[in-house]
Amino acid sequence: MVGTSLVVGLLALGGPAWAGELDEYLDSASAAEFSGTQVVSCDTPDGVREAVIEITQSFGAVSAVSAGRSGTRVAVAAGTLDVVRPDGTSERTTVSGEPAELETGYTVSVPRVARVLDRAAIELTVADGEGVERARLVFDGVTGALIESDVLNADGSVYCQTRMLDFSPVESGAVAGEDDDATTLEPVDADGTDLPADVAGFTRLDAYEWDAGGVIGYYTDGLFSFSLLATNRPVEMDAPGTVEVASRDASYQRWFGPGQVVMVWDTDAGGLALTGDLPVDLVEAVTAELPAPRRPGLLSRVWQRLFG
Amino acid sequence: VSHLGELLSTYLDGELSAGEHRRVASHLAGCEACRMELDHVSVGRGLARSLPTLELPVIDAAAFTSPPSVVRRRGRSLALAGAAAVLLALAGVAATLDPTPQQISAPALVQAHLARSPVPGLTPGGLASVTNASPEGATP
Repeated sequence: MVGTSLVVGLLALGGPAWAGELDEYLDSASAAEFSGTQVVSCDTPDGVREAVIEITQSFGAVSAVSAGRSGTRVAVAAGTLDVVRPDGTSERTTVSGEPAELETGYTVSVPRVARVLDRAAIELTVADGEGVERARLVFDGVTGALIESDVLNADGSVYCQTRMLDFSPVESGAVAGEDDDATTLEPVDADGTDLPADVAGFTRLDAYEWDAGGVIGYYTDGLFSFSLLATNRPVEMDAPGTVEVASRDASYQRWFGPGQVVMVWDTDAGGLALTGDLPVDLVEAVTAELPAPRRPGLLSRVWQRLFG
Repeated sequence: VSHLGELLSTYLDGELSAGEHRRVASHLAGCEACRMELDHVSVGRGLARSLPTLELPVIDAAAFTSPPSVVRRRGRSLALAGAAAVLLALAGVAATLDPTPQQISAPALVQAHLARSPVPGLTPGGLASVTNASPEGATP
């Protein structure tokens, strides 16, 4: 009933009245309750990254478990993320932060009626300030859930897409988290850090102390988001499938997962690591405004040759 | 497997006989460990050669009543002390470089980011980066 109202309401309002109200759609999607099987496929410079996950969203929490692979379950609710592994071990990451209150540069197209998985749906596109489409989103007409998404590169090609293979509204089934090993990211005064306040159109909302060393800033432009870790030591990616990428007379380490990218590089002041859901061109735009990778000096190279 | 050990230094000095030289070169061609050791020895020797030459102070032998052998010992001691000081300085420089990198766990960083991100975010598929990239493995 609520969903039918959502469809009718949106279409009645359609057009300029809804233009720019991206938050309305995403908030509605956040409040939706559903379960289903989702395919994630991302076409990255390092190859295709795909995953099939069983996803459940209820009471503002999302739970995902890899379908037929590691069986690792991830549950995320506002400020808390639980990882429960098949062997029963688990870890929890908690972080506090205020919802973004940003004037985004994105505009939303007039909603169109669609039909997905034999259900009424609303389809719209999101364009950046220059009118370039950056996402196509399809919301379920009953629950408001985001049931399809295409994240687009600047040239219009698809970077990542999500599709539901099956979908059903659910009333409950909230995710139960475990906390064998809890990590709480303590907030710090962001202005007292070296993290820039704005980067390539992204605004820093807050910053946290990273328990492994360094501070993390959280950035968003209202549609995409990334976290930037700054340390005072050199950094090295710890993930299979990491690729060395030459750029700006030096190199970055890059890792793609389905829907997330991680970039790591040394700077003159230490190290930086970035992760987020940015398409590749936005990753390049952001890194171009951050300190450049440091070229290893002669003594460092000699040291590395001598001692590895 | 018998590796080259001390022969590497002699090899670098060009003091091996032709037969030994061929044997060492042949071994190096098929032994990565020895090639790396050769590389390290070569770099180390280069560093040693780059140490500055210290001028010994001019010593007025007439000012000493000690036998000449004692003067030589003092001169050698000064040279050794100078070399030790230079080595200590180099060690200090090396220590400040501290090239030991901080390991960045991609899944852990993604987890921190997703914990902060609004639910569900634009790409709930981002959770798949964690489900597929537990610390034991990642999606290549």
